[in-house]
Amino acid sequence: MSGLRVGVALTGHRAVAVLIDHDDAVLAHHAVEASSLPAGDRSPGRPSRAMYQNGDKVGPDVPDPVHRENTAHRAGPRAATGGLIDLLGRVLTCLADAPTRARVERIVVATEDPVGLLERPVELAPVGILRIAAPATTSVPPLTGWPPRLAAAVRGPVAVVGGGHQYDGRELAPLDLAAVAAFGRACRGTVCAVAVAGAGAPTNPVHEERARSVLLELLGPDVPIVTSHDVGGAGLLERENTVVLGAAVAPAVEEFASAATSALVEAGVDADLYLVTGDGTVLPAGLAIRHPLALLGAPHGAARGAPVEAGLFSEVAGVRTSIRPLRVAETPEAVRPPRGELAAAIGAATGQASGTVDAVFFYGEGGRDECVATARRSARELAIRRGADPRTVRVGEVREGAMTYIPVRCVRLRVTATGPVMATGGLR
Amino acid sequence: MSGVTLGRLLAMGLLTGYEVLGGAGGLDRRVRMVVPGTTVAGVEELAPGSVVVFGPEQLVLDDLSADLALRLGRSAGLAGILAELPGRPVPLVTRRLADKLGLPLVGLPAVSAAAVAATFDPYVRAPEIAGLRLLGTTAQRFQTAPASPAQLTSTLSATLGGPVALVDAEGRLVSGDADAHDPLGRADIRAHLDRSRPVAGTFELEPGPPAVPARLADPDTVLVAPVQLDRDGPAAFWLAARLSGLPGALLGPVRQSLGVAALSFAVYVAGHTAILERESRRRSLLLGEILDQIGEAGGPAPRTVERAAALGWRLAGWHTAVHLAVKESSATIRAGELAGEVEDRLTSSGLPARLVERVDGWAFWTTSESEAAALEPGELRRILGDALHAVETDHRGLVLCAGVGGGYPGTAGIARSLDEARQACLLARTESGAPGTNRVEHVDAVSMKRLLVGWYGSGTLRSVADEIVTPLITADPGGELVRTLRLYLDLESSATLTAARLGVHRNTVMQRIDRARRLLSVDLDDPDDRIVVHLAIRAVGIDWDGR
Repeated sequence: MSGLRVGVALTGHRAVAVLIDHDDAVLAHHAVEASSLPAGDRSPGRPSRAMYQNGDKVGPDVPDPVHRENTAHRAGPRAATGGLIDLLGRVLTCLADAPTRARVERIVVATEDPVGLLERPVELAPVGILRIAAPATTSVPPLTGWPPRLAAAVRGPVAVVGGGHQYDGRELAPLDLAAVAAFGRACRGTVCAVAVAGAGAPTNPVHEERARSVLLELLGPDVPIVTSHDVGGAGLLERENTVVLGAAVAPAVEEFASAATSALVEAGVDADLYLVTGDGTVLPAGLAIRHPLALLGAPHGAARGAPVEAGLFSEVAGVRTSIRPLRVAETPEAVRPPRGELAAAIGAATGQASGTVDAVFFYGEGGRDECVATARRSARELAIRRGADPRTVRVGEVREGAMTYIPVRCVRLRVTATGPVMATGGLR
Repeated sequence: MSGVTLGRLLAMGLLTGYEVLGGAGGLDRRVRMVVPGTTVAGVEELAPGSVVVFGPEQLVLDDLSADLALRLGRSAGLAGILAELPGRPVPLVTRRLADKLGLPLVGLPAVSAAAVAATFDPYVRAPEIAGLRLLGTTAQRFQTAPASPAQLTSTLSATLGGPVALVDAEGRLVSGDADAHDPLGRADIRAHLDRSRPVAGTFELEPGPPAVPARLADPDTVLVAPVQLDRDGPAAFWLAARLSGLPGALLGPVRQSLGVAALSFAVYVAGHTAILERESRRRSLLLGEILDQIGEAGGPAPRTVERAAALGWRLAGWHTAVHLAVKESSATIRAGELAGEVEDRLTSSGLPARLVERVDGWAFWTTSESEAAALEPGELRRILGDALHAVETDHRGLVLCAGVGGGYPGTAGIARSLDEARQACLLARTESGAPGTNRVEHVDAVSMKRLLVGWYGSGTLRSVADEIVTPLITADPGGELVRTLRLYLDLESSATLTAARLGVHRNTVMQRIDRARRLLSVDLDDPDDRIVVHLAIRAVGIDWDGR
């Protein structure tokens, strides 16, 4: 147990890495810039892509994305991922010598580039969309209200099948496994990821999980399946839209995660890879594929490490708070931490694991207290699954949301458990 | 490594069909208890060093809850997690997590969690129970003596869980595993086996390369136990067992198990020997009968002839007898086995022989249709010489000799040839040549020597011999003086040659001869006296009256 950790803030242009010890002291840091070659030339033979910004075409013509529906887009590492991995490898090699690198326990990367595809819809690959809610919700099909270009880019096979649960956990209808299987077969060879959203899934994820098993068998382990019960919130449409977007970027996230893991091995770093999420907590790379959108805002989330580094605090009405990195960006004359550019990297390296539960709990015999206890326990277990050390994980405040117009007694609870990541190895 | 580890529990063979799915690096961690699991979350409450067993309702290994169980288990310091093998393969991520956390994850075929925990727990809380079980199993398996040395070693090896070898008194492998035999060449172990009062012993070997990387290599333990036919006698055989990773608590029971097996095998050996001896005695008695009945009218009785025929003895034809005897031997050699070995050697050389035990050795005869068809004396001597040499090679310190009688026809001829063979053998025994020479004497070969036989056999010479030699033996009971004088006279009074043969200094020989001269009542410088002393001293120690 060396306690050595590496944090990397990674964009397409620049990688900043920092090496810290078990006391969170910075032992080394390094930064590298991307070479001056444009992204398109990095992998020979690939044509440069048309660039869209806010729906307006700014580059040369390419075939209408609609016609790309039937071609499977798994052509290998794209130029963008290749550039990121190249930077990652270079910054690691320069950060420390080989023996030190071999002792690193954990490496955390803060990047939102893989999900940057959302700004470039033409590069999105089609996804399969499965909604488990029939006979309900059929009047509002999936992708309703989406921007046309975005919808066209992501639309793959779409199916609404029987199943789902009501607000109180009762089954709406039995899960139509035959229809799920038919949908799975339609997806074979045509999609790079699948989004599954079931009515009432946060309360009862059984139908979504069963659909996942069926799809896994039909499509194999290489097609990411993003399910909505991993996303909090009550509304089916909100969850569905989220998982569709998530599925659209899931292949890029997975590609990045596996390429990054290989790069680590090449650089002689035999450590667990974690990715930073938007709230500054970290997620094991393997789980990031199930929560791809969590990467959004990663560098900002990681930058909350800045106050730790700067040691700056201020008092507001007698309550101590730390300086939020947002104020730093918005007020240029504010004190800039001397090593501000390392903030994101340090934040990544010191990031903790967390698990959030946001669901509706129905009062049973134990009443509200039992619901709260269940919510706390679930949050704690979720944090542990994501790597938190069971001995030091802390469960935060349980926030309650009122549920109106519902005949049975229930409550919406949201609670987050956070804790330092458990050190592995050394227990021999 | 003291205490029980999960690796050792699994190796006990109480469970079949288990599979270590991951975390094998942690198999040598000490186990404090084995308990059935309730819920995955409950893992946190377990004490460090526990091994938890889950049934299929509590933990499914192809589910994410397996990862949670592993993480909680690692945090709680568990020594292992056992659960039912699911129908689908266990996901690679789960197995790799177990490896990374160093927490053994073992899949079992459908077994009840409570039953598994109940089976293992006693061995963990009280390792003596494992020892008692071992001893009980050994006692049960060796209640009846094994049917053969091979059965002894294979049964004991299966019981102890390691290689076992049976070696004879000189350390040669009789049956079993070379792995258990090889270490016995080590100097201290070899010395232990050579001790005059045999006793059990325990030795540690240097550890070899570890079987599982990243685990400490435990030194192997070699235990030896003697097989004694007689409580105060030497060890007829040694049992050796080589075990690895043996916890201290099991050392005593393993030693005792070895002792039980050794005792059981001693019964086999004694029984085996008794059978041989009974067989041998029967033959001797029958031969005695035949020889007694030769003088009677009509020869041996029909019934006797029948029994002889049943043994394969031929009474009609041209017979040449051979008499064999042990000239020198050491304590470890068991005479009963020698006859069998000589028989085997002769038979494989084309001279099938059934040795009959006699008072001073063994005898047999070969029969041919006629004198012309009989084996040439030279050829017979060569075959005998080779066979005896081969048997001597297998036994340190053994010297054999044989005598061949003349060829004579009929049942009476057997008796005459046997007689001559015996005399020839006695001649061979008196010879003091370098080992390997004069092993087989033919009564016809040297007529001079036949005269000697007559003289040696005469009572007058024998009483003179006793008178002469007794003072020498009284002065030196070890017999060194007698030996030196005899050799001196044999070598024509050359002190130099005598010293060379004995391996001592010439002056030592001179001192001894001077001493002998002073003790003897006769004058060694007188040629007549010297001849008498020479003859007398050659007849010392030979029993001429035996029949």
